[in-house]
Amino acid sequence: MDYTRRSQKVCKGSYHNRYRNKGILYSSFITLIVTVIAIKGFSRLVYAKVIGVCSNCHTMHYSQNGTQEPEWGDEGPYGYLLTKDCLGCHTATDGGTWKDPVTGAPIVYNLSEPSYGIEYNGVKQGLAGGNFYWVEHLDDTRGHNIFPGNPDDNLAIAPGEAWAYSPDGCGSNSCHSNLDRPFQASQSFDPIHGYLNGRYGCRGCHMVSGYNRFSQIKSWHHANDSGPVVDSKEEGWFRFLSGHYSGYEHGVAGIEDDDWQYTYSKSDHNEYLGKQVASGTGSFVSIGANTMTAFCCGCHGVFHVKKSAGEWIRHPVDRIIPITNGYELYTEYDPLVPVARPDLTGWTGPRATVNQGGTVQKDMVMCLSCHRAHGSPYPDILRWDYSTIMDEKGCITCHTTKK
Amino acid sequence: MAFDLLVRGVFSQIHNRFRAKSTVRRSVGIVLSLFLFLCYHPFHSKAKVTGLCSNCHTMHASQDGVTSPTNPALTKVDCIGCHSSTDTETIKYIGGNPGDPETSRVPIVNNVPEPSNPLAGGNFYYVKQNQTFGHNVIGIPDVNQDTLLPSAPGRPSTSGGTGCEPCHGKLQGGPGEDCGCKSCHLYVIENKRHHTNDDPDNNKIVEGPPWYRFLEQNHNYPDIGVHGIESSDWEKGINNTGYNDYNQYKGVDAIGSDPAGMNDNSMSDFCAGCHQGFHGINFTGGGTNSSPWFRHPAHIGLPSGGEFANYAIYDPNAPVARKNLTNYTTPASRTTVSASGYTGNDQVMCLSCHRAHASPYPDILRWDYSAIEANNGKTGGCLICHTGKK
Repeated sequence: MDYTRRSQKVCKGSYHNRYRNKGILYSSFITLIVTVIAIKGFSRLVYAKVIGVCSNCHTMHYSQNGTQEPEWGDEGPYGYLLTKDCLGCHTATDGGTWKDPVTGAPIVYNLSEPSYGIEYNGVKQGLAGGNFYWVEHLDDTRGHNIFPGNPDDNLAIAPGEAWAYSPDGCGSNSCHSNLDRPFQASQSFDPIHGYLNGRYGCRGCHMVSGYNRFSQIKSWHHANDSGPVVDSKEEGWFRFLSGHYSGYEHGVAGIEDDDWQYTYSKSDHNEYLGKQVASGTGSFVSIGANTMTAFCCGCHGVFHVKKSAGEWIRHPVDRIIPITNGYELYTEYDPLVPVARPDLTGWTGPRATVNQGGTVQKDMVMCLSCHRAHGSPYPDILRWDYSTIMDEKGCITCHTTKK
Repeated sequence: MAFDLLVRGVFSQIHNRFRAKSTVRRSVGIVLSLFLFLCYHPFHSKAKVTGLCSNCHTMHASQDGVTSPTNPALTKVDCIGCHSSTDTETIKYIGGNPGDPETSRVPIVNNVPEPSNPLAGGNFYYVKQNQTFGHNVIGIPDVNQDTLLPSAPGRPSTSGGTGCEPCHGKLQGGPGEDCGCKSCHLYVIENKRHHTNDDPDNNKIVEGPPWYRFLEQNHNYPDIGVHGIESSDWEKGINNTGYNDYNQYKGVDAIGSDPAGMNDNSMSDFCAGCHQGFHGINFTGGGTNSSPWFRHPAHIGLPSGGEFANYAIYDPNAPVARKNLTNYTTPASRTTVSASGYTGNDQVMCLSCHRAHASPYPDILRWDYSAIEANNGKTGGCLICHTGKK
C-alpha cells in the first residue's frame, strides 16, 4: 500500500515535474517572445542615435589612397571628421528613398519629387519635416532657403523675424534672418556668440554637434534619444532643436516617430510639446518651455502676437484648440494636422486622439499644425494648398464648421 | 674532557673555515648574480647590442674563401637581413642561447610566414599581403612602391623638393642608403647607434642619441630625436596575463605653439615629417582649440570629462603619448590613462590608431576601421577612447 502510494506520489511528482518543466518551457518561451517583442519595440524607439560602422559617416583625415572616396563630399575636410556635410548625408538622388540604405539617415532632400509620405490631394510630402525638393525645384515659397548662396527670391529676411539685425544684435547674416549664408557675430556679440560663426543652412536650426559656451554638448547624433519622450540635452533634444541664447538647457521636447512618419496613422506620428501662452505676447514666447512653437518663434516671433481688442489679428499658435464652435469635432489625430500637447510626462508613445478642453490645459494649435519645417509642395511651406481650401481637409480639419 | 674540548675546537675551526668559505662563496654568488642581473635585466639598455661581434659583423665579407655582399659598418647583412625571420618568431637570438652573454637578441619586424606575436611596431609581413596594410619600405623583399599613393599622404608641402622625396615622400632611404628603413630609423654609421648606450643616466627614458628606436627628427644639426621608454621585449608578450611593459611615447603640447610642432622630441612630430597635413591642431574649426575638428587630432591631450574620462586603464591597442615620461619608468606605472584636457599629460598621437610598420588592416590601423560600429554593443578600436559610442 505504502509502496503503491509512494509510487503514485512519485508518479504524481513526475507528472508534476514534467508539467512544471513544461511550464518552465512555456514561461521561458513566453519570456523569450516578450523579450523579442520588447527588444523589437525598444529598437523602434532608438533611431536618431546613430548605429553602425563609424566609416559610414566619418573619415579621420579626409584622405584615402591619397585622394577622396567618390562617395564623399568634395568640399571637405568637414567638421567632426564627417565624409559629407548635412545634406550630403540626408539627400537621395531619386524620389523614392526616404532613408539612406547605408547610414540609416532620414532623407530630407530628394533630387526627384518624393514619392512617399503622407499625401494631400494626391501629392506625397516626404517625411514629417517635409522635403527640400520643392524649394529647390519649384520656387522659394515652398521651403526654407537653406542652400548656400541661394537667397530667398521674395524675402529679404525671415517673415515675422523677432530678432532683426542691429549693430548690437546678433550681427550680420543672422540665422534668425536667413539660412543661406554663414553667420558672423557682430563685434560686440562675438565673445558671446562667436562660437556660432559659420553656421548656416541646416545648422541654423539643428544645433547638431553644437559647441556651446554654456555646456559643451557634442555628438548629438550619438546621444541616447530612446526616450520615449526626448526632452533633455543628454538626449539631444527633439531632432537636435536647441536654443543657444538660453544655452543647451533648453530645446524642443517631443516624441520622435521611429521612421520620421514614413509610415503614419492616427497613432503613428511625432508628438510635440506646447505651452499655452497669454494673448498679446510675442517674440520669444515660452523660450524656456521647450516647445516646438517657441523654437519657430526664434525667427518668426512677430507672428506670435495674438489678439488686439479681443480679436485675433494673426492666427494663434500655442493656444488651446477651443471645445466649441466645431473645434470639438477634431478628435481623431490627423498626422497631416498635428497638434502640440501640454504635457508629455509619462507618455510612452504617440496618442491617437485630440483632447480639446476649455480652460484645462489640453492640446494646442502650433506652427507645425499648418506648416512643414523643411519644405512642402505648397506655397508658404504649408501642408496643403491654401488657395484651394474650401470644404475639406487642410484648415477645415480644425475649422469644421467651415465645411 | 680535554679530548672533547680539542675535538670541539677543531670542529669549531673547521666550521668557521667552512662558514668563512661559504660567506665568500655567497658573496661571490651575490656579486655574480648582481652582475648578471645588471647585464641582462629587462630594464637594461635594450637598443645597445650585446653579444659576439661575429654575430653581426664580418671583417672582409669573406669566409673560407667564399665572399658575401658587403654592407656598411661591416655588417653581414642589411637592416632587413638581420630583422627578418623565416619562421613565426618575432625575437631572434643569434650566436647562442637566450640569456647567454655571447648571444645577440634581435627584434623581428619582417616574418616570412604570419608572425605569432607581432611586436609593437607591427610586422611587414602584412604589407606583403596588401599594400594598404603597411609602409612600403623599399628594400624589403616583395615590397614595392605603393601603386595607390604616389607620395606620402598628408606630406607637408614645405618638406623640400625632389631631394627629400626618397624619404619624406617614399621610403627608399636617403641618398647613398641601402634600404628604406633608414628613411625613419636614421642609423648613421658614424654614430654607431646600435652600440650606443641609450640610457646613460639609467632613468629608463631614452632622451638623447641614439634616440628612441633610432628615430631622429632632425637629420641636420642639431641632433634631435624622439624620446620614449622602450619596452624590454618590444611588447612581444602583450597578450600575457598581467603584462604591463609597454612602450611609452613622448608627447608635447601643440596647443598655442607652432602647429607643426617641429623637432619637439615627440612621436607624433616624427610622423609629421611625412604626414604633417594630418597632424596637430591643423584643420580645427572656429579658431584654435575649438570644435569642430576637421581631421582627427594628434599631438593633443585627451579631452577631460565626457566619454574620454572612461578611458582610464591603459589599453596597448590604443596607446597614448605622455608629456612627462618620468612617471612611467616602471612597467607597473604604465597601466593608467588620464584624460585631462587638451593641455593634459596624456595625448592622442598617430600611433594611438596606427602601427609604425604594418598591421593586418588597411591604413596600417590597429583595427579594422570598417568593422568598428557605434552604439551597437561593440568594443575596441575607436571605442577605446570614444567610449560614448559603445
